[in-house]
Amino acid sequence: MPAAAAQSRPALEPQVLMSIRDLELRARVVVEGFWSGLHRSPYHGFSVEFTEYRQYTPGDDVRYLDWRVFARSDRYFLKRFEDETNLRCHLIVDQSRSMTYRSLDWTKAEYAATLAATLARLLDQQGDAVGLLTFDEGVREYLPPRHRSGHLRRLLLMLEQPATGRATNLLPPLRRVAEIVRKRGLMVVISDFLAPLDDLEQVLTQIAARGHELIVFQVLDPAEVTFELRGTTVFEDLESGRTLTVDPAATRKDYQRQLEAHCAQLALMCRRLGGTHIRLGTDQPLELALYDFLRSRLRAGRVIRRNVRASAGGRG
Amino acid sequence: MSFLAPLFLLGGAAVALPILFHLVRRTTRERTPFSSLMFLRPSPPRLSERSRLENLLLLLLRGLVVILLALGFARPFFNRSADQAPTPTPVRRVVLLIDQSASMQRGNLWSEARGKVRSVLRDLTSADQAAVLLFAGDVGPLVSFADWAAAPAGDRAGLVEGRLAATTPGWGATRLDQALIRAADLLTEEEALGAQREIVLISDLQEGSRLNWLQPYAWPEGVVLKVEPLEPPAGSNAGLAYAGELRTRGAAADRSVRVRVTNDGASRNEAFRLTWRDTDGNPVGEPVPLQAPPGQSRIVTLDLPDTSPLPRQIRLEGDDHPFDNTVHVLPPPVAETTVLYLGDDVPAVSRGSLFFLERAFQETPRQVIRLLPRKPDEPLSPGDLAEAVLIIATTILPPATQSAVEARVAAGGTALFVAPEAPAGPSSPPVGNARKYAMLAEIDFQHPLFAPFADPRFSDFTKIRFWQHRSLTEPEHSPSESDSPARVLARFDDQSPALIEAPQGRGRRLTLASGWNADDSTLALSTKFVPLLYSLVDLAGGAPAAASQYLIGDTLPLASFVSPAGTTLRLPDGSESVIDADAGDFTGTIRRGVYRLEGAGKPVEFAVNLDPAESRTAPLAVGELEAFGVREVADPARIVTNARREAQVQRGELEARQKLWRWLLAAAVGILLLETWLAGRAARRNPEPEPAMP
Repeated sequence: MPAAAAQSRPALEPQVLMSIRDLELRARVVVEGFWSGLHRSPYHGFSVEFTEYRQYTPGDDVRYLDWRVFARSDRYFLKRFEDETNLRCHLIVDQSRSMTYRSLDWTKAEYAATLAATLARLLDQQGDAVGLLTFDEGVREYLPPRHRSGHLRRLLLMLEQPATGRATNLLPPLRRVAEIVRKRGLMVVISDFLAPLDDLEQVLTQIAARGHELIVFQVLDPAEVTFELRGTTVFEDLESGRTLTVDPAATRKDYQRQLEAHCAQLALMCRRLGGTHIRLGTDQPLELALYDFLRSRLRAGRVIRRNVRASAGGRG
Repeated sequence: MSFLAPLFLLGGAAVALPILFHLVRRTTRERTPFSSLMFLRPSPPRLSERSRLENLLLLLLRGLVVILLALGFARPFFNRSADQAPTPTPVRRVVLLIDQSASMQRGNLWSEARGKVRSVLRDLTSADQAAVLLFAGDVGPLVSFADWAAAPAGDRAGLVEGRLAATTPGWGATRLDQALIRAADLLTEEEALGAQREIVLISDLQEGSRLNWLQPYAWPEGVVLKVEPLEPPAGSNAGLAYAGELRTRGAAADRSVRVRVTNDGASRNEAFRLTWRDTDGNPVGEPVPLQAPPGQSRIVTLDLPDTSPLPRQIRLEGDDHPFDNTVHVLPPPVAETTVLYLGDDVPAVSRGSLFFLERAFQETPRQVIRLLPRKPDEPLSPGDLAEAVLIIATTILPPATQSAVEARVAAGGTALFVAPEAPAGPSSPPVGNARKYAMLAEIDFQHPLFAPFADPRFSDFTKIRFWQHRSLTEPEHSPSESDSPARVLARFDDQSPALIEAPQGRGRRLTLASGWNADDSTLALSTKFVPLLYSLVDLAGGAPAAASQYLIGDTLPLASFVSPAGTTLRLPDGSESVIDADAGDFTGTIRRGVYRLEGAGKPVEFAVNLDPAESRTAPLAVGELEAFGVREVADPARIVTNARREAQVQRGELEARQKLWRWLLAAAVGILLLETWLAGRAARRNPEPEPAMP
């Protein structure tokens, strides 16, 4: 499968990648590096043309009648083109202050934004409509999925907003998404998930019930995972400002245990709903994330195309 | 050690701040931001032993820096002033000046002055030396330093008060300058080491005090003046003074006297009345009202009443202080002189000499000159000749007249011969007429005739043109003539004599080379003619009599009136004083009134009045005395503040020399450096936890 395919060069180091200031450029670098790193595209042989037929009902547009099928079967069928079969993808990105933690040169928020931008670009190239919903303690901004020129630019701009939210609450955005989006699509949630998971399962079940596909990216900083701080420190919560005097050496084990339990719980929740949970460290290359992403898509039975022309509207 | 600005020591309380920070810091450390605290449990902090000790040392150093800074700002210095020992109160040498002028007669000023004297004497210790002077028009001692020292300590005040009780304020003017100078000289007479020299002035300090002698006087070092002002009595004062011109001759309308009424600036009274009084003080005639606004004076012309004898006093009514409200007036003595003119001219002819003579001799209130024009041919009456003190002859006299005139001159008269054109008899000096233009070139200004013209403003005789003159022979110095030789008083520019004076017997004879008629010269038309004639009359002995109005303190010129037989001067209070022939002038004018000299001949009277300056009773402006260089002691509080200020300056100078604050500041900086180094060392040993992981 694609992930196992040989790569001619090693994945781009996050230090190098994150030193690129422009988000769009970063996304482009990752995506094109990703494609060029694949020797063989597993996606040969797919048709670029229409994929499905739909039976004609009075009132449909007669432009899209397939006359060959009519000649063969004497029945009216409409062509369903790529854009009709295309995906509606929602990227749900956490922009709360907990994402601004960093122990490296870039914050989790920057990493998450790069990830989202990369996915958006990839999907857009495939001809899918990508939307964005940013949240912190509530919904911040929402960009409905479109496949238009300039839309990607707008999406990237939204991603570049600084993360200033005072709390992390996943429930409002997910609920909103569950309400708004009727058609089945893809839901990608990118967050650190350092928040109580109590009601989360209920909302995720709602989403899955609508038929959405769920992919969850958990972005964590390596320092958060290993907790290798020395000396008595007064810890200050980035979001609430609460302080706590902690001796890290004493509480490390306890902390790690709790963190792992939290992450495991989240993963279990996702799998039970048929989704995917991918845990990422900010020191890991983004291409790996892309691989995991695509693998999950293939598993879901989607068609992966490469370099689809991004023109909107149908063709005859 | 003392401090220049001790308030800064309060800044040392700021040392509490490092201590506070130290305590607070132990609980507060650097905060490490973390994404979420949901997995963290609180645990207490641990403090290592070494860090606690190091922190204490740093705290001490910081506290020390703060204290050193506070000390530096307080500017310490060592007060090593030499004269720390309290100085003993120095001995005082005091001169008390008591005002005895006429203005002290007002109200109860004199008793107030005595009270002040009493209080000043009370302040004196037995070691102090004192003298008391009374001053008015002149300064007289009441108690001298010697008297003071001679009297036993307890009796000194009593001595002064006793002598003072016997005196009363007089009528003199206030010569304050003279008194201060005398007192200052008295104090500086003896070298009094370490003694505080003081003049205590007890006076009403009126504006009319004379101060001009203080101008050139250099106030001596170390002498201070302490003024004890007296409370001015209630009420305002208006003064009366004689303003001259008592005319007794002439028409009735012209018979008047002028007096000046001066009203005090602070008075509320404007209406006054003047009345004539006779010698007993009873009013004569109706009072004359007048208005004088405050601060101004008015000169009033009072008509003389028609009574005879003429009243001598004028009194002012309407003000509160009567001491200066009486003025004694006497009609001035009129000198009557007779001048005999011998000449052919007719008075109406303006080209002649008589015309000018008649117009030159005008009547003045003090002098009446009677001109007797006679033709030389007429026989002279002996009465005329005897009366005339001056004889002027412009023609050749017949021998009889000539000898009569010469006899009169020898008896004491003066004769002016204007050399005629034609020669006279054989006894007259030969004359020759020079018809050429001449001017007066040399004039003997030493001679009393020309003495009034000695001033350069008046000494220009070149404007007088002489069309012709006779040549007079130079007087020879021959011992056979009379005792004093003849002199040439004036010469023409060709060196020929113009005026020759030749003493003859008891009189003198003057010969003029040219007349003043129009043919001879323009002398009669020049401005020098009339003064020259009057000067001639004075020379002849017809000078106006001495004035009759004097002020208290003036000397009366009795020399010309005393007779060898003895003269008695009657004083205003009725007493008499005998004046010797060689006594000279009388100086005892201490009282106002009419002084009458009785002796041979007519009695002569003098009126003596108060100095008008005494009427100006408003107090002197503050600082008036200081403006003349007198060093005054205004109030004791000022001395204290001055001493305090000097002490302050001294302290400032000491501190500026020692500059201890620099050392303190250097020490503070050094300790700061040490503390920084120590803190750095401590930080390096225990590296602070960094929020970013490498």
